[in-house]
Amino acid sequence: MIEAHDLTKRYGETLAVDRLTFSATPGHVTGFLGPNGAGKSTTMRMILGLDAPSEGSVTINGTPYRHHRYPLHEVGALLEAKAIHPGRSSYNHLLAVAQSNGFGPKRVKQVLELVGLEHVARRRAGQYSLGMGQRLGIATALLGDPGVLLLDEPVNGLDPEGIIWVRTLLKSLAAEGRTVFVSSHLMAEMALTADHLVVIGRGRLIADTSVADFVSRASGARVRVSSPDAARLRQLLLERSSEVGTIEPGPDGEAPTFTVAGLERSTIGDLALHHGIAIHELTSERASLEQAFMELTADDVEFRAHGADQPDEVAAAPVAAHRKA
Amino acid sequence: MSVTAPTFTPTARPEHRPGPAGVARSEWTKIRSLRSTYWTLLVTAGLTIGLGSLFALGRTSGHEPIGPSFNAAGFPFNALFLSQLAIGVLGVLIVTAEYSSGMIRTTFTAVPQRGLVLTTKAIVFGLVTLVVATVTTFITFFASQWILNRGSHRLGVSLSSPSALRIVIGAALYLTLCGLLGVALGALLRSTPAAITSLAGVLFILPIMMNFLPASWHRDAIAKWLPSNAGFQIIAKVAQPLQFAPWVGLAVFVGWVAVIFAVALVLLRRRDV
Repeated sequence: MIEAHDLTKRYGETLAVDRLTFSATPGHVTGFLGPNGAGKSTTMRMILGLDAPSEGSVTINGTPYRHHRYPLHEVGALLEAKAIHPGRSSYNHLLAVAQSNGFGPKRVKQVLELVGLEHVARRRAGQYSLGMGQRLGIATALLGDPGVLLLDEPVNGLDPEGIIWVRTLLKSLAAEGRTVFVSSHLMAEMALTADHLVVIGRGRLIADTSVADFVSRASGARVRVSSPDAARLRQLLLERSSEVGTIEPGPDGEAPTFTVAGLERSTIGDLALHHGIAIHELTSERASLEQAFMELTADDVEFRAHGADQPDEVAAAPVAAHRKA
Repeated sequence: MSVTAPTFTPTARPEHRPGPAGVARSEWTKIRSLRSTYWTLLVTAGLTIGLGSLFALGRTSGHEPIGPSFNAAGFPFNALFLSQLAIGVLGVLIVTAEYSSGMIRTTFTAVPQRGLVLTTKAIVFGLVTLVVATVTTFITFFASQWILNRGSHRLGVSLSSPSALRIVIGAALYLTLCGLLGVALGALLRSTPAAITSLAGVLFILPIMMNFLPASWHRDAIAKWLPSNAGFQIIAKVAQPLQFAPWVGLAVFVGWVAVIFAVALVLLRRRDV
């Protein structure tokens, strides 16, 4: 369990992290999303006690990280791939980390097998690819068999096979009852891996919600309508929704189409029947996580980019600060 | 979110009770698993033994008259002037390489008690250096005295002669302190170039600069306090004028290293990693 409360980090005049409150719970993969410079890594370092918060607090299992004495058994972390001396073999790297918390060679061999590095374990880490570095980082995080895992961009530099491996691994770790907190800029990847999202932009919380909720709250569901009498149907729909798109001609003699937001498919279908309008297509279109993310962070980024002199309260308000229980 | 998650039970268990002994094992693994450690220790030993023997050879083949005040045991240890830098650089690197590679964040995530980590690192490195340095200074002593005794010169002394044992052990302690000075500077500055430059500045440049200060500034009174000047007195045959007595001088050097290390410890607890 990770709990951040009003977590704030200030570098001089700059607010890197601004009153962030969120939690990551056991049994779930919590995705930590945000554009570059949003404060993800700073937040990660504060969770791990490496950087001290300017204000607020963050705890792991109820205790600030720096009060844990030998925490590998409770918390495992991957902060950056290849954060290892290039002249040291991965076996010795893992052994040094393991020994500091009372673990030994037996556990090192186990995690090396778990991440598939057992055949290159004696090779100097400087010769590793980025993907191998990521596997080594994940092995380091898993050394103490911890109940809480923090991983910063774990799929960076992995090949497709590796990405699927990480996805499966994270899900199975969460299924075992562990807290898995994983940051990524790959929104599509998060849609497949995470079941809960903490989204930040410019250090502020934008959303703390489920993946499905995040997508629908951001853009709402849109319905794509195709009808030979599109103009009349559109006119009828305009009376009921303010978000009706323009009509586009259908391909190859098919009926023209347009999109509607804020109305259910059943409402549109019933309305068309009532007025005797034929419908050739009626499809729900869900915004992708990317689109939702861009929409939600766009205001924030734009505002900051050319509006630094405006008061703070103009900034995008958090969309959903509470998750469903 | 409504599904009740299973309660996690770890399967892997530590083999030892976590504690400072484990941190020491970890630091020992770090030191012994890098080739650069062996190379740098070899260079330190090679420079001390090689230059020490060379200096002895220079004395036996020179034309200058050699009086009774000649410091046969200590003279070869002027080699420390160069080898101190090699061991100091190793001390710097065992700290700063963790910062430049990012390993330090893994280290402090595994053991959040940063002071314990740095102190243990210094102790483990200090013991390794002390062992290597002691072997080195004894070899240097016997090699140089053998050279000084060759032919008709008979300039060499035995280990049982006055002050000889103090000089040989003191030289090893001096080298160890130079290594620890490197550790302290590395922890203070966290950057390899900055720490190595400072190390060279403290050990090499400052003593030379002193010569250019105006004499009216009591430069001799200032110069004797410099770490290398004070520490080097341990290889003097007898206490030198305008300098500290041998063990007092070494104690002053210990003081310098301790103060820099203490400042580094305080900053380590306060600063972000």
